[in-house]
Amino acid sequence: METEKEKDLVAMILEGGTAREKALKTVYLDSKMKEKLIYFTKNNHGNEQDGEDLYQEAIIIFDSNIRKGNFRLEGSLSSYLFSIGKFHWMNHLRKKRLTLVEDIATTVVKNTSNPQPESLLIDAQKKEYLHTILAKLGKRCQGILELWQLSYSMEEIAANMGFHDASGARKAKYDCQQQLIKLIQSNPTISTELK
Amino acid sequence: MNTSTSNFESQIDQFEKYTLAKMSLEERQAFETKLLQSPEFHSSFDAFLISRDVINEKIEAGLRDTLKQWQSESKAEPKIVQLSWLKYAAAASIIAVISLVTFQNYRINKIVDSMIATNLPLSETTRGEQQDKISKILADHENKAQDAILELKKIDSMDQNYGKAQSVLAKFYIRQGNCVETLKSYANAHDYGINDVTLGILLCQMKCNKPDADFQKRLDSILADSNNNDYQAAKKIKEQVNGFWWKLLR
Repeated sequence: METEKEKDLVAMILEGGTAREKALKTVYLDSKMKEKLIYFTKNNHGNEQDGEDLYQEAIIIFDSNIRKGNFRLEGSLSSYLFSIGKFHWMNHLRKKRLTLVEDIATTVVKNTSNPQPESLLIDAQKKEYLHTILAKLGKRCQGILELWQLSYSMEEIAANMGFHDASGARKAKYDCQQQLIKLIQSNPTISTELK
Repeated sequence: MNTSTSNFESQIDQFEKYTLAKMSLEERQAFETKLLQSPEFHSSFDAFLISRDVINEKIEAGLRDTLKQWQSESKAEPKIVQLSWLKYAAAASIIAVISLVTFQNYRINKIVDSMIATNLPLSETTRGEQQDKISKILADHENKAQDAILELKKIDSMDQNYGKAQSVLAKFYIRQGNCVETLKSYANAHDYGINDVTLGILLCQMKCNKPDADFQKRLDSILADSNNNDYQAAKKIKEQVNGFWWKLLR
């Protein structure tokens, strides 16, 4: 994929909404990127489905990093996704007490500006805490805050969630944020673990 | 709006501005000083950051579902193509078979019609004085088969032309594909002295696709005598009924 096109994709993900979805679909359906990870897993104790799953995880992390402002496109997108996938797979193999068969260190782009993918993986325990809090928040609030975090405008949130206008959506967004923050503060154990 | 709500909203706006790096240098310095000096503010900011992780977890779960959906869609596509290819191939095969069968059926019908026209001419029986009456009907009603049939049917069994009239009627009926009336008329003609009805009966059975148990016997009776007037026609019939398409379709 050309660099300009990759830059456009990153911009679309940052834009949020349907643009983000379109960009992620383009990345996901790029068969060359996917094939690299499938080939990698097949050569390292995995199968085609593992490769597919790994590619999905890499895209999820890639999307999250862009939205959190933790990503700058300096190498190629393909290499970045590959390195995320590789570290994810290494973690998986480590748990199974297996090692990488193929030394692919030379293919991993050393990107000093972007955080190392290994550090981006949230462990299972942390995820469980996040889910515990999420489950206590109402579905409607989850939906409103999800759209907000995906950079939807207040007008779009109002249209999607059935508010009369943007001001109603804005008020609901603050209410939901307040609810969520109170939930977190009322669980000191969880909030300490998640810090 | 009460003061505590307003304070909360203002604080959230500050947190968002800070995390999105949208603060001026002065604003950022003031924010960071507050973080260091106010444990309550610091705790609220921590909770805000965790709240982003919580929602991010929901976003990731949603994206995971979407990716799975895209995966199944991309895997389903080739199957659809294959299914559609098979469907088209099956439809094309069915159309080809139906076309071939229809064509062969049409071809056989044309051969039978051609044999009827050649071997069972309407005018054949209109020779001499006895045929004059029949000949006159045919001439009067040329190209008006139904009128000719009505006139021929008027000829009474007491009339000396009755046998011939029935034979000509049979030839009209066979052309119309009316097998029942053809066979009845041939039977009447035979009863009234017309002997050469066998070929007509055979062709009638071929035309109506109703060969009976005696079909082969009748055919053989003509073929047994090479001097029979209908011998060549019978040979042609034999060729037809022994053909692949006749056996398959009839």
